[in-house]
Amino acid sequence: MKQLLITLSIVFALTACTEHKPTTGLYLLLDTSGTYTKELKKAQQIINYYLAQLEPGDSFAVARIDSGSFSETDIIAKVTFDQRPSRANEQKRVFSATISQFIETVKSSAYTDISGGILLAKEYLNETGADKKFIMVFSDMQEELPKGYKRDFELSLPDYEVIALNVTKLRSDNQDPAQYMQRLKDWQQRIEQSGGKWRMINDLEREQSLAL
Amino acid sequence: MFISNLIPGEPVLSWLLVIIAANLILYFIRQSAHELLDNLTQMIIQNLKLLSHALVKTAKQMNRRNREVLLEHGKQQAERELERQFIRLGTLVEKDLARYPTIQRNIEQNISHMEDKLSQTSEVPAPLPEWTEAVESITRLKDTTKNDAVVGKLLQAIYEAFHKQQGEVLGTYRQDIAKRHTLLKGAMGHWRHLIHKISQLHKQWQHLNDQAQKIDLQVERFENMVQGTDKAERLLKASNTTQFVISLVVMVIAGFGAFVNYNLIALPMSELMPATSQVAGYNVADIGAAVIIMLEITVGLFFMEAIGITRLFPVIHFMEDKKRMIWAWVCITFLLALCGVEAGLAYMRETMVADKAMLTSFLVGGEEAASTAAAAEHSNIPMIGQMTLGFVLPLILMFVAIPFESFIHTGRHVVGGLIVNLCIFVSTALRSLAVFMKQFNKSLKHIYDILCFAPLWVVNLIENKPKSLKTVVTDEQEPLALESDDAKSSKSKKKDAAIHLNQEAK
Repeated sequence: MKQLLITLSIVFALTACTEHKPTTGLYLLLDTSGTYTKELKKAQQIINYYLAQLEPGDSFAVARIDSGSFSETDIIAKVTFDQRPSRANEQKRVFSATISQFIETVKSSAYTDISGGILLAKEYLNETGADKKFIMVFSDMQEELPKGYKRDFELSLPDYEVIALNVTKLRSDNQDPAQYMQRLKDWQQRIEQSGGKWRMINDLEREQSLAL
Repeated sequence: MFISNLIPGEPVLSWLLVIIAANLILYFIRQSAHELLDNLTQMIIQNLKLLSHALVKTAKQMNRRNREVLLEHGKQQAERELERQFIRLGTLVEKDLARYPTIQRNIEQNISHMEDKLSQTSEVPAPLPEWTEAVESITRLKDTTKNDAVVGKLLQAIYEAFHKQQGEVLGTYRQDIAKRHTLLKGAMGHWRHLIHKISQLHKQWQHLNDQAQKIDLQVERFENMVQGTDKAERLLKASNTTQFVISLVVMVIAGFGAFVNYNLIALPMSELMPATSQVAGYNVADIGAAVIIMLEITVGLFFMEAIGITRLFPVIHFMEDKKRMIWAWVCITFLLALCGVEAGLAYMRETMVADKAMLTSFLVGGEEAASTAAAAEHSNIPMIGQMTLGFVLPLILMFVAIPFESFIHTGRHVVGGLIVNLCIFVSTALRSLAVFMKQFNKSLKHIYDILCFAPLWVVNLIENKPKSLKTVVTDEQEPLALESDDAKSSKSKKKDAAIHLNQEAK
């Protein structure tokens, strides 16, 4: 009886010790406005890179930034990888194929609603319950909203890391670089005031900087 | 500062006043301070000594227990060796004795064959020719001329017959001799056979004798163990340490083997167990792989125990032979099943690695690159190698039971010896600390005296006056709680001198 109790205690202790492995949630926003669509080939490489890096149990979603990005229809592909590596590999293949198809058929949008995209990303990552949450914005970070759209709300991004990728310079930035600096500074302030972390990666060739 | 303004406008005077006051206070509480220091030191020293004694006692008990365990282990080993020698001897005797009737019959047959041959070769004298009597009769005839011709003819005929018969007898005799030689030659084989058998017997007896001598030595060793002689203990200690080191080395090698095995099955285990669960920061899949290896080692240990190679589990060891063999079969079946599982996992690992490589090709170069990579020729050697390793490694790890048993048995003594040495070392260190504390106490008291040197000096001056010798004696009579023998003897000398001086003064 005593031995049985000890065995049961050990089993319960081990069960209690079982914990959830920290998972990663990654949401990538692709800017499809204007001439930025030309940069999307680079974005595909980045997506493939992260597909190779992510592990079973992690979540990954890719969505487009267009005139009104706060809509589920803008999500191109989303997946939470299966616990079995072989099944996860299969999901990665399907995901990559979907992205490839999207990039081949993408049409540029008139406006750029970055804030709406970030808000959608936040909702998605919250639902996945990922331990580490990353929102990547593949854009020039120039927000242009259609008339009547309001995006001056508090984002509230605690435990989130927002990474701006491939922030290209606009023609006006070339004329006045202060605009570019100011734009980035504004975004940084907005993210940090919302409780999130801000990072910018322009050199996409460096693998170290891309690490999550 | 407060002290500097004790006497307003006179900081030096203020400081002097404070120093003098401090000196006086220190002087007045000197005796109490010294006693306090003595008491504290004594308390610490006594505790240290107590601890040191306890450690020495523990070391002695541990040593005694180690000796008992060592001799007991030695006795067990000697018993096993003796048992093995007896089994060998039994097998030898059984084998040889079983052949003795055959050998004996063989020798007897050979001897009877030789006797037959010898009896056949015995010489039979040739019969005397019958005509000798005829010759004698003829010689008795009267010598007449009438008979001369007849006698002559007869003698001639007899002579011829004699020569003829002699030739025939000689031929027969020679033939007989040749036959006998042939028979004797045939007996040579029997002789050789006999010699061979006897030398074979000699060797067997010699072997038996050697075994008996070995058993004698074992018995002598066993007796030494039972008596617990120092020689036996020394031999066992040396043997145990060597065995411990050897088994440790072998176990480390086995540990590396287990590590290789672990890496072989850790990746495919993620297909079988949830990849997102962890226990104490380790993936459940990795833990599962480690558990499988530990299970294999455990089953291997049970198997080795069941077939009587190790003696780690008395329950298995004292089972009936039949049950033990059933247990052994069960263990080896489980072990082979686990080997099969490992081989399967190794195969799965290779498949997963290939799939991962394909996915990487697909992600980097698209479908074209993936199909090119799939179409490329792949060697099956790594997969076969991994599967073979997966099957063989658990079986090899099974043999770790032997060094493990040795490690457990000898480790008890080696670790015990280390603890004994550690206890002795700590005990010595504590004693040294006690001595240090004693000296430190003395030094503290001296430092204290230095701090209040002025009043002491004054008192000393007053006391050194001849009429105040009494007070010196009185002061000297105050015992200190902690004084060394030397100090006491010097004090008694001083006291004697003071009394002497006092008497002189009177």
